[in-house]
Amino acid sequence: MLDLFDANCALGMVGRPSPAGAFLSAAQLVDHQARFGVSRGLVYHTLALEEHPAVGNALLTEAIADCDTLQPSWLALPHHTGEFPAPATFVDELRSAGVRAVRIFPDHQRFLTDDWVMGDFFAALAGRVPLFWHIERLNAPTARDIHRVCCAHPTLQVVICDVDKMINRTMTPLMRQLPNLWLETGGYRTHRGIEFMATAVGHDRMVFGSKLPWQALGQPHAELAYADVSGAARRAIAADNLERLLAMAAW
Amino acid sequence: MFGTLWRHHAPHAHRHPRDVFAANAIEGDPIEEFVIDVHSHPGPDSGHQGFNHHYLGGGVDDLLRVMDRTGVDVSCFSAHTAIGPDFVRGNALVAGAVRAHPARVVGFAVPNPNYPELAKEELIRRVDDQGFRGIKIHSTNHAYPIHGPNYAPVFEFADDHRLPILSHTFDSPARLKELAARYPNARFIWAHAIGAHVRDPDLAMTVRDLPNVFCEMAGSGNRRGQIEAFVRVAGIESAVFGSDYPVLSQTWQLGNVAHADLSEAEKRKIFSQNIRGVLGL
Ligand SMILES: [Zn+2]
Repeated sequence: MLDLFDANCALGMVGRPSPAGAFLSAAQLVDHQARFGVSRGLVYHTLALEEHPAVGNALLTEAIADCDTLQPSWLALPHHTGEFPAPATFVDELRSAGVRAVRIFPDHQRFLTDDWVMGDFFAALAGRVPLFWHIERLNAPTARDIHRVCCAHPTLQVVICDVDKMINRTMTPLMRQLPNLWLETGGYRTHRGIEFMATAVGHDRMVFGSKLPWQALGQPHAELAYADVSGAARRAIAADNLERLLAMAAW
Repeated sequence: MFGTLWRHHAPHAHRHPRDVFAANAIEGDPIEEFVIDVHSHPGPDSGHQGFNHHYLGGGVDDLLRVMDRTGVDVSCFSAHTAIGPDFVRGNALVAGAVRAHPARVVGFAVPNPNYPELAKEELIRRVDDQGFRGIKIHSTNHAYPIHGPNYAPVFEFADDHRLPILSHTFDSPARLKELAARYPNARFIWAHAIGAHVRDPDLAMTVRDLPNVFCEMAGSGNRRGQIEAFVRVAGIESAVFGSDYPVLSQTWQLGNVAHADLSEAEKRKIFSQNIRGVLGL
C-alpha cells in the first residue's frame, strides 16, 4: 500500500459538512486517513478558513499538540487592517511554533495577491516557508496572479491547491516557466492528468492532497494509485516531494 | 486537549477489513470482479488530444488501455463528437469499436433531436443493424428540451426496444417520474445523479419507487459520504457505476465507489449486477 503524506486536509467543525461530516478531533482525522495509507498530514483548522485565521491557527495548535502524525499549517491574511500580524512578526510566530507551512485562500477571504497588498508578506516567506495557495478556479486573473507572484518572488515556494480538472493548457506553461511552483493533486481529476504532468513538467512538482473533510479520499487516492507512472514517481508524489518541501523550511 | 485522551501510534487499518473492490483499488490493481462503466465518451485515436480542455489520449484504444488498468470489463460507449457537433460521425466511430471489441464495448447510439429524420435513421441503423444496446441523449449540449417533441420518438424507440437511455439530466424528479411511467419498457439512467440529487434531494426519493430508473454516480469531486447517503434513500438497486470518460477520469470515479462505505455485496450491485441484465451481459 502506498504511503501517503496528505498536503491538504483540515480538522474542526464546518458549516456545510459533507454527508459523512467533519473531523472534530485529530484522532478522527488520523484514523480516517490511516484507512487509506495516509500516515502523515499537513493540516489546517477549518475555523482558520471559515471564521478567522487568528482563531483557527490557535485552535490547531491545541488540537494537534500531542499528535505525532499531523503537522501544522497556518492560514495568513494581509496585515494592513490590523487583524493579522505584520509579516516579520508572523514569521517569528511561525518559527517559535515550529510551523513550516502557510496557506492563503485569497478568493475565499477576499484579498488580492498584488504586491501592494501581499508583497511584504511574500518577501518575508520567501526562502523560509512554503506557501500553499488555495484557489477557487484557475481563471485568467488567478493564473496571472500566480505567474506574477512567482516571478516577483523566485525563492518563494508556491504550492497551488484545490485546482479543478480543466487546467492543463494554463497550468503546463505556468509550471514549466516557474520552477518555484508545485501542484497539489487533491482536485486534479483530469483524465491521465498526473501522468501528463509527470512527463510534461516532472513528477517532483506534484504533492498528494485529499481535500478532507469535504471530499471522498478514495477519489484522489485512486487517481494516484492507478496513474501510469513509475513506482518512484508515485512515491515522490505520494509523500517524498512534500517531505522535501517542508524540509526546505528555515526551521 | 486531545493529546491527553489519545495518542496515535500506527495506522488502524485492521479495524476496517477491505472488500475486494477496496483491496484492489488501494493497490492500484485491476478490480478482479466484473465491472461495467455505463458512461464513456471516447473520441478517435487520432493523436490530437482533448476538446475544450486538454487530456492525454481520449480515444477508443486509450479507453481500452485504461479499462485494462482499472479492471473495468465493459464500457458503454457513446462518442464524444456525437454528444457534440456530429452524431452520425460519432455513432460510426462507436460502431467500429463495437465491431472490433464486442466483448468490451456496448454501443450507445446518440440521436441529435435537432435533426429528427436523421436521428430516426441513426437509431434504426445502429440498434437494429449494428447491435448497439442503448441510447445516449444530451439535451444540454444539443440545446433541446427533454420534453420537446423530437425526443418523443427517441423515448418510444427505447420503449419498443427495451433499451436504456443515458442522459445527464431528465430535467427534474417529476419529469423523470412522468417519463418512466409513460415508457415503462425503457430504462432511464440519470448520469451524474449525485450532483443532481444535491441540487434537488427529491431525486433519491423519486427513484426509489421507479424500477426502470438508474442513477449513475460520476461527479466532479463527489463529497465524502455522498454516494452512501444517496443509496440509503434511493435504494442500492438504483445505483450504477459510470465515469464520463474522458471528461472525467475513470480512475477517480472508480476510487469513489470502490472505497465507499458500503458492503462488498452493495458495491457488486453498483459495479455490475444492477445493470448487467439491462445491457444483456
Ligand atoms: Zn455523458
